[in-house]
Amino acid sequence: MNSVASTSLGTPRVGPLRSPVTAALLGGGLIAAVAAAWFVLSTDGFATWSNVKAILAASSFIGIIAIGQTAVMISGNFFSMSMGIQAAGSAMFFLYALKFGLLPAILMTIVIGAVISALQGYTIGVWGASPIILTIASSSVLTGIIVLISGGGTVHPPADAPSINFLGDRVGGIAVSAFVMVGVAILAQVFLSRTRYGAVTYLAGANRAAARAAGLPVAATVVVVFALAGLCAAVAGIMMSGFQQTASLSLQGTLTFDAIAAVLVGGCAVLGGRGSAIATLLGTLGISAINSALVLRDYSNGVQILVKGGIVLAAVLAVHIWSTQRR
Amino acid sequence: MSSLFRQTSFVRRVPRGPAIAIAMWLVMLILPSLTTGSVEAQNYRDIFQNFATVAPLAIAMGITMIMAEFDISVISTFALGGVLAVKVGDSSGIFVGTLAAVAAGAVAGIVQGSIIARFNISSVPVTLAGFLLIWGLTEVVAGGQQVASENFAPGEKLLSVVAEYFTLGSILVIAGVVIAHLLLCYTKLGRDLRAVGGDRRASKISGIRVPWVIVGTFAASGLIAGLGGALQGFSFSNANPLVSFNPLVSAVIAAIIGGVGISGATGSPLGIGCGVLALGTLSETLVITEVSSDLATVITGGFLLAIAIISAPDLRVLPTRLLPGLARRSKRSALDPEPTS
Repeated sequence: MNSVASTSLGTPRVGPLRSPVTAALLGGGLIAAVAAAWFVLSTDGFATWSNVKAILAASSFIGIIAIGQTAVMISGNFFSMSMGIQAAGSAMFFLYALKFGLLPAILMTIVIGAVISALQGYTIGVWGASPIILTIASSSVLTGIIVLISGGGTVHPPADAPSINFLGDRVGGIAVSAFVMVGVAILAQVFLSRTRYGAVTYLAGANRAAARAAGLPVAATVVVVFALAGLCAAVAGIMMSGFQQTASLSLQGTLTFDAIAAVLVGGCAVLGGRGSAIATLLGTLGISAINSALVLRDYSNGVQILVKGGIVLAAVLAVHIWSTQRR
Repeated sequence: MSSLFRQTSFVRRVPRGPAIAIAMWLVMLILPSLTTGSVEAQNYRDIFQNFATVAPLAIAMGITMIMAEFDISVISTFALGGVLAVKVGDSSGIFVGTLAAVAAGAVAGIVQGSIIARFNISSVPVTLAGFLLIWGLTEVVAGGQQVASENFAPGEKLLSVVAEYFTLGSILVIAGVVIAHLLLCYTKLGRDLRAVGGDRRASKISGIRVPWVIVGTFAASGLIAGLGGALQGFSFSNANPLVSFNPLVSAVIAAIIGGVGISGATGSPLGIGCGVLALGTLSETLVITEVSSDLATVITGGFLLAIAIISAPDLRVLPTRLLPGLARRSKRSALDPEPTS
């Protein structure tokens, strides 16, 4: 194993706070965090109920996908780079499948999404394929297949299709998709902390060799977490199509990266073994809140991406320093 | 990098870069004669022009993979290089523009490499954050829109035909790949890089300054990506801050075709170059045989996926691994390289 993080090269085995560089970084990070909180909260129009509702709605699709990615990351398989395309593909398929009825359409979309992702999980868990390389290549082939089938156009619901307006509705002023995000987070958290597969997910991420040696179903767990991620992407796709009433490949936008950013900001350890769906939910909301402040202050798209990158880097370093200090 | 780069045995027996590139070339020669179309000099120029775009990215990504790391940020460094080169080049000349692109790439690499070496942290999340930071910076520098140049002279020169089959730009990139190959295969630099990729702890004990190798490799990766972006920007007199992922997919897969094992330590720039040529030849064959662009995307994507699966170290492992109890009773353990390595 060439694990960079598991070796002690370059870093002496002392508490990181004893190193002036890391101590300065942590101090600087704390000041930056306070400054960022002030920057966000003092934004005109930020601390209003309507903006909170907007943040919840805007973060819901990313949040649902990020919760699936959390399970993948905890299992020690980094993340899936094909989630954006799977969500967009699921949205397109769902609208097409509405001709079979609403419930069959939802079930078919979720099952197909989970199976496609589980197949990727199989090659990763059983054959040891590199998760990043395999999912990048999968997104490439999925794009091709979707373009070939759909002709690359926009999918509209059939004329006699059951109404899907309720998916884009609001309850008490809050988007239905936000409730779905919270529901998915709770279910995922129950899976991770209350089931056998959830326990193996953490163990496989913390020490795969030991988990395998102990006879735990590591490979099967990898398949299950990828299936879960595909399921989440499918749910996000269904919610997006309900919101937009149409679907095309462009729906994927930057969903993949936004979701990964949310998982990392939620404090998930990138090499696995630590993280939670609820923390990811908070990470998603945190990024959306900061983004909302930037939008309200009229910052450009470039600045928004730049800030997101800065937050991800800070979160990754903070989690890394914190975990090495505990070791 | 435990999950990304595992020890591999099967992958070492897969025919590598030159073999696959030659096989693709033969397919390109044979297939059109069975269907429609014919191979012209223009097709070779297209392949080499694609090489000029993808090869710098593949080399930039490949050298970090040889070190058993992974630099996701190369794709946005490439975009930043293009935007800076076109923008600065317009006001201060091509040389300064190229210098700006190269310097920005190198700085991006040094910063990321330093963080990775100093904190002993996986390169994946760091370069993912770097990818976002550099992408945001590119958008800011470009003002959120495509940057175009009024000076078409460098583009005309770079796209001018040389020896019928090449463009000047592609010749420059081929020369760059050969230089990179000589540096990595015949100097201490390359040996250190492969040693660090193979076994970091042993490298440190044997006196290699591991942190310097890490920082140096990421600096080189950023520099090459920035230079590649500059070349692309000058060739087409414009640069787009919008980061496209397709070249990244091609770059990673080209590196794997070219002999870079997913466990690091193996592979060479010439091999990676052959990988880029193999993918470019496949795309061009689909154009020559007039396969619809939609179907071509599926075929290319399928090929990329097949390579990604073939590079899996435990490809022969049966589904019994899903049930560990069964797997232990099977002969899998004897075939699995893990217990013996």
